[in-house]
Amino acid sequence: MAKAIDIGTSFIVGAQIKDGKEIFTSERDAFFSMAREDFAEEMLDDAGAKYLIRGKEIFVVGEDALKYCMITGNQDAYRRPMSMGVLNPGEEEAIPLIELLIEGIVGKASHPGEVIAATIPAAPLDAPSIDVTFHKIVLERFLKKLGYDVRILNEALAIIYAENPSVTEDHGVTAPFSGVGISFGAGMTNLVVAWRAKKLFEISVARGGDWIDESVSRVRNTPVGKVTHEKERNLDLSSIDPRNTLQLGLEIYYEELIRHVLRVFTEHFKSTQTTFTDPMEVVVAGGTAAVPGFIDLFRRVLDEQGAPIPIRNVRLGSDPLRTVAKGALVAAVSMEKKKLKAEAEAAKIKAEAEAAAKATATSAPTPPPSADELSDMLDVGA
Amino acid sequence: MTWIVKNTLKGTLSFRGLDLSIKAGDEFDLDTRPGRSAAEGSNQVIVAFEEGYLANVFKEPQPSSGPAPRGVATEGVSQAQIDASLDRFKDEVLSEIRSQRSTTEDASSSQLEDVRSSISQDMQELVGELKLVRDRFASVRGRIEVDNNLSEVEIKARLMFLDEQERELMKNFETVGRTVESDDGDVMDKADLLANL
Repeated sequence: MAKAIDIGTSFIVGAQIKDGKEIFTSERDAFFSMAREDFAEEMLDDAGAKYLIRGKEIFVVGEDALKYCMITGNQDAYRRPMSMGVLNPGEEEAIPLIELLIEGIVGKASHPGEVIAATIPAAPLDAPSIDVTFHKIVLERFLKKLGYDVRILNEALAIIYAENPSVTEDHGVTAPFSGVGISFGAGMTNLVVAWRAKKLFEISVARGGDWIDESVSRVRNTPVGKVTHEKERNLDLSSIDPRNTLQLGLEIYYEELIRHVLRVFTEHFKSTQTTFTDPMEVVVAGGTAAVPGFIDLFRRVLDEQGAPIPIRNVRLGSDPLRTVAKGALVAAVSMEKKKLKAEAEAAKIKAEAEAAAKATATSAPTPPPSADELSDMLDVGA
Repeated sequence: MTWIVKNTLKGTLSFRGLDLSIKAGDEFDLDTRPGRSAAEGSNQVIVAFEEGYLANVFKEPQPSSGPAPRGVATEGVSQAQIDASLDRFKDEVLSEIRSQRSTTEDASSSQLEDVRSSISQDMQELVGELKLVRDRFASVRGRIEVDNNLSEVEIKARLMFLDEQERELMKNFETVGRTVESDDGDVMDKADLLANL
């Protein structure tokens, strides 16, 4: 059965169907470096922690990296392989470490050519230096090495697949997988407008949860970790404590992030020739949108600022932290079904052609399309 | 006086000489029956502690005799004492981590550094403790393997019990990755819908 993986700046989330159930495995996208000592390796083995040895250093990866950071207080040794939604160019060790994390989460393909859908962001409009292509190629190559048939899709499009927003057209027909998907992640925010599962428009901005934390940290002269802690533990955007300066700062920057995304959406949508008359649904997901009160703030800002297309309603994904992975799994399962169907049809055509060739030895049959050729037609438009 | 012990096994623990049975997972006050001196002098109780079948929950010291006699320790430190010591240590580390969390709310950076260095030291001690405990497991294993008084079946059972104890100890360290099942269960339906578009 197909699998999916959402590789985010803060977390990597894997998804698969096992015994008829949807299973999600998440891992913190981080590593912690420590000196290589025999006993350290033994301890990590006993604890079942994932680690990688590079020369005289050990890199503990995932949630354990954060634990070691908290226990030792060594912030410098705690690093993140991803930055602003893509592989962190400042981290030389990033690639093998993220590969280790990915392999730990999805494992090798259970059969050759098993479909895996991996999500990536779109190239950000406000940060042209961020290299999405390099990120995409590295991940694609590694997943292929694990034996998968890799399909790449936009992370905001995955929200559309997971939540299935629909549009009711004038003549009463419902168009599934049609709406606006917005993924508010840690490193970036991605937006797509989809119509019947096809991506018609996409944008990305290099702002997300990390940008909010860093901005508040700067203006309040407070460590980023403390801001993040306040955001993750105590923030409720519908009831801000007016005496808490960090919460006030977070509210301001949350609002500014939403305004920025809607502003860029409006500016760039104007340049397309697309027109929508039927009101669409907006579905929002991602870790940054999981804060209580986010969706009400989004609705308020949207009412004030407007959008370039008519909006019917706004809702939060049912499980905002896993919505992208779930949508990628929907896409992967769908692609695998199509692939199997195409292979079965190809086999049938081949058998018929062979039968016809035997019957009329003089006429040459049309060669059937190969499975590879067919699989190339199965991309969902990522 | 009170001396509460706990049966850590999944079956009832019987001390025939003392006419005493403790059900699986139950706690029992050995001071009420058979009494402190009888319990401390019982070879069965000593072996039960040594092999980890019994764990100390609370042992009130005897009022006039100074520190409680270490009747359960036959060779160095007993399994139960190691467990109790590790539990205490774990609680201290956890309490330090919790205090660090609350400290970050208000404390100055110098106070934070103190907490961090203290935790770092605790971590090193924890590593040392664990190494010691694992060495002791190895030593007990060796002792059991060469004990001529034990039958082959007994040796096998005791070694299996030790393995279980060691696994329990190491479980304190959580492994990476969290797996959850979704309640939605609609991926296949949506995939069908998408495939048929």
